[in-house]
Amino acid sequence: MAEALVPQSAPPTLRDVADAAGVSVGTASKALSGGYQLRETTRRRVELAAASLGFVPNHMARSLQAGRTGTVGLLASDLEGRFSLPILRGAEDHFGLGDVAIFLCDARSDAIRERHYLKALLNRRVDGLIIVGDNTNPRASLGQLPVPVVYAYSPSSDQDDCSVISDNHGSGRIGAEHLLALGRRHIGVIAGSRDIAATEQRVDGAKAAVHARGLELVGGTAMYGTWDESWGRNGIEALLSLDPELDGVLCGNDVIARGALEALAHHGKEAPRDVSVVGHDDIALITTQTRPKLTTIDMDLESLGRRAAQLLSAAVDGEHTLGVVTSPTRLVIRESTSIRTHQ
Amino acid sequence: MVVGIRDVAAHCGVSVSTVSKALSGYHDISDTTRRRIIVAARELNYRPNSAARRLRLGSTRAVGLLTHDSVGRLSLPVLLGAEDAVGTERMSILLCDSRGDAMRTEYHLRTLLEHGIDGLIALAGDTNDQPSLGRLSVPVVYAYGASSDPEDHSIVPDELDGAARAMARLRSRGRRRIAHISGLESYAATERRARAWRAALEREHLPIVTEPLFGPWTEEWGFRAAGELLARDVAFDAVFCGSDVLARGVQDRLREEGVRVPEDVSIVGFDNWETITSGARPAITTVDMQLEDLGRQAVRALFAAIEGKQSSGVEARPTKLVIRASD
Repeated sequence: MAEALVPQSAPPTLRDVADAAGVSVGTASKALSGGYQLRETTRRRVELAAASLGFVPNHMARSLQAGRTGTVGLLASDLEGRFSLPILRGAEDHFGLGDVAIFLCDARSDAIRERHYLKALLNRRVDGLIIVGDNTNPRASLGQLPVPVVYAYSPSSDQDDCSVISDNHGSGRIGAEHLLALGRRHIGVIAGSRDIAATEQRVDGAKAAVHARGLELVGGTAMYGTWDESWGRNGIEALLSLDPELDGVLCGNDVIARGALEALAHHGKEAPRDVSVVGHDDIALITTQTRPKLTTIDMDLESLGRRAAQLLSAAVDGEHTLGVVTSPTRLVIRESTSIRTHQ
Repeated sequence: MVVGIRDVAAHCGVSVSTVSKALSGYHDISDTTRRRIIVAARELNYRPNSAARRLRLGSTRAVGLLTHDSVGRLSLPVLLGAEDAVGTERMSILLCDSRGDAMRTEYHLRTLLEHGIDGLIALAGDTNDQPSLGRLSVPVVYAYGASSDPEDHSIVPDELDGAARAMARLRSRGRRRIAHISGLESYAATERRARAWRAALEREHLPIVTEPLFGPWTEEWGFRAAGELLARDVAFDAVFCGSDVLARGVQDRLREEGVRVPEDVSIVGFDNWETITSGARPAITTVDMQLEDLGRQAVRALFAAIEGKQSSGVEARPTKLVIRASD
């Protein structure tokens, strides 16, 4: 039996790994705990040595040594959890199952609850915090805390904090570029409410794309309103009265787009034959259910969550990133837009 | 054997809650009773468990909410209700998402226990039974889907009650020929809602215009099923739908075919998912499973269990009808 050939000796220690790799114990520890200040070649050499010796890192010892608990707190401010849960999933994927546990607490954009949960999480000695906002407007900084913090979705108002936000300007731009690539020239925007910073940023992105082609949005700018289906219907009425040749529509969210599709059908305009329609957010409950199914912009919150977790682990390892990092959005093409058959 | 609060109560001939009140210093019992209970507790060497004592001292406790519902449509309302029931000054809720995966469940469970939670709510992703977590070092309450072990304590929405309310509403609108379009037959929800539909028809001696139409939980299925219903050439004046998503598809098809809702056909849905129901034309009348109430009840039951008052069995909570314009 194979086991019989293995000499009866104590299991290999971190020192054995360090000796085999020709590095210090500290370096070996960093390499195996995923520390960020190491060269890739060094890390690989240590990992190889550990693997050939059959070294199993002791998680408990590791976290004790590093003074860490292997837990991260995620403070969520969005009531419906629409942003927090995908961000949580992305962050978990970054940390990997078994290494770090994330606790989500519901702060509901309420300062008192936020303080309460902050205290509770710090008492539980989390290694770091991810703060998820409920909209894209900047939020107040939590100031100096004993552990690193990354703000996700809503940026911190303090430039010296680390924030990850969705690329709002980019999402407006790629939506408009998609419509332009389809040959659409009469493009209107039914935006959401103006009190959300992202609304204006997305409109700016769309304008930039349209202006680059020497064109203007229908009406010169976006139609601003609310975030519901009836606004989508009314928005179409407004756009058609400005330009009956309307052939492309960008919407502030999928719910608005759904209303827009209905109003267009009511006017005998068929999507995507006569008009291409693009939503925003990719809420599966809507985008996969409309007839035609809705082309939309996905903020890819899981990858935003992964990015936040990456920045947080780096900060826990002493490598801080300051300022705002943007996470790219992506176009999800379904049936409501399509290549124009006639030019 | 550990002396429980029940033993003290039995010894004194009073209720468990009286013992609990006496030992926690409430003032609405007489001094003689209180003294009798305190003496008995000392004689029996009764020690309230530390979690329970901390609860009474008003310090904050941690409750784990292990959710199997990644979409958050269920877990968030339940979480809100749970927090409202106890108040965050006394409790923190830590949410972990199992993504319906057994390995993740196991892992999160271990981590939560290691981090000293005082109790756990296991929230299912649907109303099918969920596997019991077995004996743990802290009490567990199962929510939305019942535990497979009847000895566990589960708090679930009463889907039979919900379907009965939907049917009663349609009857009150004078509807007699009520069809049923629903989701996948493999779901307990589908079976229960269809059973209640049939029972309501039988009770009222109404005809089964056609057997229920089962399919995916999608709008597209609702749309196709409504088409099939029309093609079957059976007269119907109402459709009870197994979900709001289905109801929306049904409504769209009926409108396309020139059937007016609610003038010609009444529609009632199930779930009360606002994004679907309120934007629809007409807005959908539906059954609300009161998930916040479910969360409140679950956390109350959990706190009772932490204090030694563990219940068992399945508790089905009433639903309510939300009347909009489709019926």
